[in-house]
Amino acid sequence: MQISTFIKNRYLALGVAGFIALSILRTIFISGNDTGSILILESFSVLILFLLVSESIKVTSSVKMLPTWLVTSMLVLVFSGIFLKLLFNSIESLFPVSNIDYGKTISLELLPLIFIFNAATIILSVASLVIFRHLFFLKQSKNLNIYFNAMLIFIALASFTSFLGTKEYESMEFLTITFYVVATILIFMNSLKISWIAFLKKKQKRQLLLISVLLIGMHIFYLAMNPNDSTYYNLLSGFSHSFYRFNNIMTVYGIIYFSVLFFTTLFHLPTAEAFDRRTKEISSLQYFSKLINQVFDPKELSDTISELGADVSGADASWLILFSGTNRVEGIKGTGFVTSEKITNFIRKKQDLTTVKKIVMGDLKEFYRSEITDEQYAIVYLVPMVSYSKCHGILVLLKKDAVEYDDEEKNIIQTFADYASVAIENSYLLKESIEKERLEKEFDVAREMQQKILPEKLPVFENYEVAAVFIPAFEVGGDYYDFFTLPNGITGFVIADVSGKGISAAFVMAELKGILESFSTVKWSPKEILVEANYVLKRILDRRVFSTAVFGTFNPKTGEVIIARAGHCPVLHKTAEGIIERVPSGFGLGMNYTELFGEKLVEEKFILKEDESIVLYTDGVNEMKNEQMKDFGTERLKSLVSSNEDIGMNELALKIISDLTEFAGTKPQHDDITLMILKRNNPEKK
Amino acid sequence: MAEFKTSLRESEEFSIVELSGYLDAHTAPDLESAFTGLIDQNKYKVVVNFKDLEYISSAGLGVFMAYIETMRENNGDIKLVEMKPAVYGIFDLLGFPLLYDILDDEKDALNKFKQQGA
Repeated sequence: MQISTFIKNRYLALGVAGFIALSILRTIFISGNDTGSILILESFSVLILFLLVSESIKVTSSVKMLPTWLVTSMLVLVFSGIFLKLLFNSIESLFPVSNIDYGKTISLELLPLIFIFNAATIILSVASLVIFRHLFFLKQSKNLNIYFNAMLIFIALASFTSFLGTKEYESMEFLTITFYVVATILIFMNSLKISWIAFLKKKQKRQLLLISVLLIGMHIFYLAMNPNDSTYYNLLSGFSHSFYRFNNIMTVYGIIYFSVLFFTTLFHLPTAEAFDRRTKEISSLQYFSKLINQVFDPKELSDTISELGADVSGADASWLILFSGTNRVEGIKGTGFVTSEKITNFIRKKQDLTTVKKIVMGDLKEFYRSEITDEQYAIVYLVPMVSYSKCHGILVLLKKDAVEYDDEEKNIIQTFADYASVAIENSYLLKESIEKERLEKEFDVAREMQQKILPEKLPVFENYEVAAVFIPAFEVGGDYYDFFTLPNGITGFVIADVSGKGISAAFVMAELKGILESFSTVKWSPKEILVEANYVLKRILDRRVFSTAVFGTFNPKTGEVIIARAGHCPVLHKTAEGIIERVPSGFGLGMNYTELFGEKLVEEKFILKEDESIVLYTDGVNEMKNEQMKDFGTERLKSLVSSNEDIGMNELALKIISDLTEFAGTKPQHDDITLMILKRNNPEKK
Repeated sequence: MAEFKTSLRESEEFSIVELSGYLDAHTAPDLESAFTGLIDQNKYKVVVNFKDLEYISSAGLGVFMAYIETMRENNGDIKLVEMKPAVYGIFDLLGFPLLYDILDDEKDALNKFKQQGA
């Protein structure tokens, strides 16, 4: 609010001019104490008051006033009023003003003095009324204009009719008394509208209690300073009765208002703390709702936390140090990147950030001893951001002034930081779950690929039984089995296990299928096929990826089986004498691409006799774990094979799987399980 | 499940990495970073002690394959010692002994390095 706005306001200027005119009028012309003169004089006075009051209200109405500021101004006003009276009392003897009264023209030489004191008194009274009005409308949800205006009307009436209190109009005195009483009652009623005190902090309420006692005392003192026979009384009421009455009513208003305020505040005090907490919660909640919308973008979240952190704390600069990743500095507000880096490094030297458990304050004098910059921060606060007992980082707050936060402010900042860390935690969780969903999608693709790669149907041979079971693990391993027809008409079979999991393993598997498929159309030796495959895989495989495999050929007429094993699990050959583990030498595909692979790979040839079978499997079977982390083991598999002689091979495969499941118990399956069984039947048994 | 851990110590010019727990697809990156750390310091002569390793999966085996090659390209090697029978079984089946040095103890490994160096 600027002085110029006051001056620009025409009505206000008119009021002031009117007041000057009235003074001159009163001094020079109006001297009679006849009713006509008095009415003119008082009407004029009240009109001037009306203009001053209404226009001051209009001018100040758009300004948002804080209650503490208003009450403090009140203190200044009353103090000025008392000072004015004391000043007057000290110089009163110099001037013969004691006989100012109606019927007497005020002499010209007294005019400046009378003008100054009257004007000052009236300005103070008007200002008081404006402040009371502002206080009245603070935090009011309903439109209460009518109550206040009614009060104003009665104050005006009481002021206007105050001349009836003089001896000459004794018979009419009841009228002005009535107006006065009604005005006082309305003042009292309007004084009860002080809901704004509920919004003060406890500390402010305690201060308010003191100030209101002081204000009551000062108002009473002010009132007592000019009894009806004092010179000051004459100065005011002799000039205009309305002015005096108005001043008087304002003083009474002050006493009533601040008495009510005092008692109300007193009763509010015990609940102040709970109220404080609630308002703090509500405001934090607002911040929280702002934060929660940002969790999708971690960068934006950091910016918001930093910005709101500075808002909440009133800091001049702020940023975050997040512990995840590379301890990075994010969301720099109020300063530059270089400054924040330098100060962060300085802080790191002074304090192990991971040990910060509550708000820590430090001063930056030492920092600026070696740094010359334009920006000078006095103190720094480190606020840990903790949620679920995990500290996600530090909110750094810098202040240019060295005024430290009190406990309440620290509480608010900490509450905010706690919410912020929840938001950070959520953003991490969200990121994780998006990542997880992506992985699950990948698994779906891999699983689908795997299913498509595996043969749809098993080959059928006279006098032979073929069974195969494949159970993918949740994470999808790289198991693969297949059958081929070789150029010499003989059947080829393969079982393989690509290292690693997920989509990459599934891809390698698909490549392997393609490679084997094409070589099996031109070669018929298992060893040759694997050596060629190894050579081709060189271009495809990552250094740490390899695949084990057993490639075999099988002649249904003779029962001749030739196998080559590239690092894979043994082939179990069940004979009448027991199970033979066929483990010819050879290392995994993709482990070495030199001649060494072929040199070490040895073919093994044997005849599958009637009633004999071979069992091929992947390490998902023997490495299946139970709750005690024990392996299922090859021995258990072998005993299952040898003890179930008379059942079909499909049945045997299912039996093995159910035993595996039973063994594992609640332990989840980590790797694909593949079983392939080939049995030569005895035609005479049927 | 026993947590996977690596610990590093030096013996003469050789680095000895001790493993414990379960080495699988989830813990393999830890081992990789241990090896990368050694390569960064130009330490290519490494002995890995398997005394406390309970289990190794194919992903774990892959790490050895990749880094043994790297060490060898730099005139070094990774020698594997003190494997439990079960762990050795996995390496053996895959044909590791055909390609890499799997030895009884650290002393053997250091001697082997010295012989090769000579």
